Amino acid sequence: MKKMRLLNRTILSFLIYSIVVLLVATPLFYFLIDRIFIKEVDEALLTQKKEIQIRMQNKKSESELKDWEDLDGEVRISAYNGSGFADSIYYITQYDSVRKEVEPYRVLSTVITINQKPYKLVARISMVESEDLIEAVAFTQAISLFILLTGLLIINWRLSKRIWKPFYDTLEKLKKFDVESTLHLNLSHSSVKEFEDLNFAINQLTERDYKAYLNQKEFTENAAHEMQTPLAVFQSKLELLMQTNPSEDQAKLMESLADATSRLVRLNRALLLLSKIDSPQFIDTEAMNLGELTVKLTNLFRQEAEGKEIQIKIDTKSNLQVDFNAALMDILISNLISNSIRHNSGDDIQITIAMRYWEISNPGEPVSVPPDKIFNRFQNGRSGHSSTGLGLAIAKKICDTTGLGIRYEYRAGRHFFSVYF
Amino acid sequence: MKILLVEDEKELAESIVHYLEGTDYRCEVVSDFHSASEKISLYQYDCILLDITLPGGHGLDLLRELKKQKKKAGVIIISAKNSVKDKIEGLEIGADDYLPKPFHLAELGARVKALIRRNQFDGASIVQFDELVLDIDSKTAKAGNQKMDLTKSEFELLLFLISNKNKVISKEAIGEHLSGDDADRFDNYDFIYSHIKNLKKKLAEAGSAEYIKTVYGLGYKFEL
Repeated sequence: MKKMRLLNRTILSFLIYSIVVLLVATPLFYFLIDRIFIKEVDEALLTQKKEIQIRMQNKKSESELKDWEDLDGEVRISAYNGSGFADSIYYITQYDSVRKEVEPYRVLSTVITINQKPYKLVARISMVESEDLIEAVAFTQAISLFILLTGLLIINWRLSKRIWKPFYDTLEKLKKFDVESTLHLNLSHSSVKEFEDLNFAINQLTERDYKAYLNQKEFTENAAHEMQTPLAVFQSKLELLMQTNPSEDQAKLMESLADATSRLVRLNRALLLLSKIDSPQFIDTEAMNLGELTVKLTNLFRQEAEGKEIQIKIDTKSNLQVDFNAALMDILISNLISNSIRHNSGDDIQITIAMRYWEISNPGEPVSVPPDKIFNRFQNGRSGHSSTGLGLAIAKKICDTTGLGIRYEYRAGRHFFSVYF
Repeated sequence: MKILLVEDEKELAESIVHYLEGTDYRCEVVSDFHSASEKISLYQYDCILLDITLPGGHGLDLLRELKKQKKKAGVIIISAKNSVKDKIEGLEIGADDYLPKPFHLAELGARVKALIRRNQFDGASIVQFDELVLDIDSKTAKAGNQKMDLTKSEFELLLFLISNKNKVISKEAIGEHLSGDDADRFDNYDFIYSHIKNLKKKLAEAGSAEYIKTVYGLGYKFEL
């Protein structure tokens, strides 16, 4: 489902409401005005009837009635022979001799008594002007309603935009929040209490997060440090033990111990390194040529690669030059190469150095861990390895800390690791 | 040769002394800042092994004191901190080497030897063992008059073995020595085996005696 911005959602509700109001109000208004007008006209007709009745009391002859008719073209008075005639008001359309058009009229048909004699009175009022007027009034009303509503919408939209701005700022900053590098989010201030409360809560939360992260980091570092000395004691005693002319059985035990110790030492070193990558000790950078560095480091792996009958091929497409910390770059490239040797099911490793990236690939079985978890700590694809399980985590951490991109892909039976500069 | 070991971890100090005394050195041990400071100003040493974190003071201050007194002793810092900052600072003040804990005694032995060799013979770079002659600068080796064609790592291996002669050296110690500082590069040290094999072959071709002995699964020993 497509998600709508909060601001647009409120505006949309307003908009729908406005349209409904506009659509209902305009005909209703027209209808009301129309009714009021007809009532007015009807009253005018009845008033006219009363007026005629009063005025006619003094008129004696039929001819005098005729004069009235001649003066007022809208009134007809004729002799009436029946009795018991009620007032009736109705619409008709008649030909207007002045305008030469068929026009709508409101007509009062009634019986009045002049000198004890009944007469039929028919009075009419043209509705042409009134209809024009009603239309004009309704139209004006509709326009002003329209202007009012659009005005409200625009004001609301702009106001909301301004009011919600701190909220969106906070949201942006939260999205970019990285517990490893940010102590303060520097959230912008808002005049809205709820947003201020929100910012306050977020500030507290992130600060707590950061402190927890520091604590954990410090703990890892301390724990690894504290282990160095007992490890050193253990390793040295083991070496001394080896000097004592052990029997073959004893030697075997010592060999296992030496192997385990060596792994422990490497694991501990890797943990220490992981906790120290973002420390200032790795801040110095120098210019380096990645092609040359790759050749240099590959030579260190030659023995091991040859032992597994793996050929390392380097394809230097570009003279990739970067400013980077020498120690970290060494570790990054070495870890990726040693990973490629370790998880190689074929007989080659291909390293490509291009304009913007450094890439290493080797044939291998698909990994059992999800590709996005491959850089996590201790995610050995297969068990039974004596690797520390921290090599790729360290590589990822180096890239994250220094702003490089690193990506893993599996295609056509090969593992690809690419570092983007 | 006199070595002063400044180390507050008693067990580790004992191991180091035990190992080094078995070679040609005499070792004295102190475990805190003040007794170290006293020893340094009273006696002459060829080499001082210096721990950085000490009861009573900082190892680097001891190093400063030493340099102020213009003592000739070479200094190897042994530290559990493995911090680049300490390393750089230590080397700037005038330490000759930096070895992070935990280390192999064989590695320490080789470093002490190299340091004393540099200081003792005014940079003379010849190492001799029986009829074997190694030139450190040019990285060439001769057996008698017969020149041996060694690769760089075979040369390093031979030098490492000679530096720890008469000791059993574990595969791990050799592997870490050959692969340098941050040795998370290798899962196992099987490649040592082929190195040793090649080296033995080249030694035999040059007419040298069989000095390298395999000690069960443990490692190797270089002896007459």
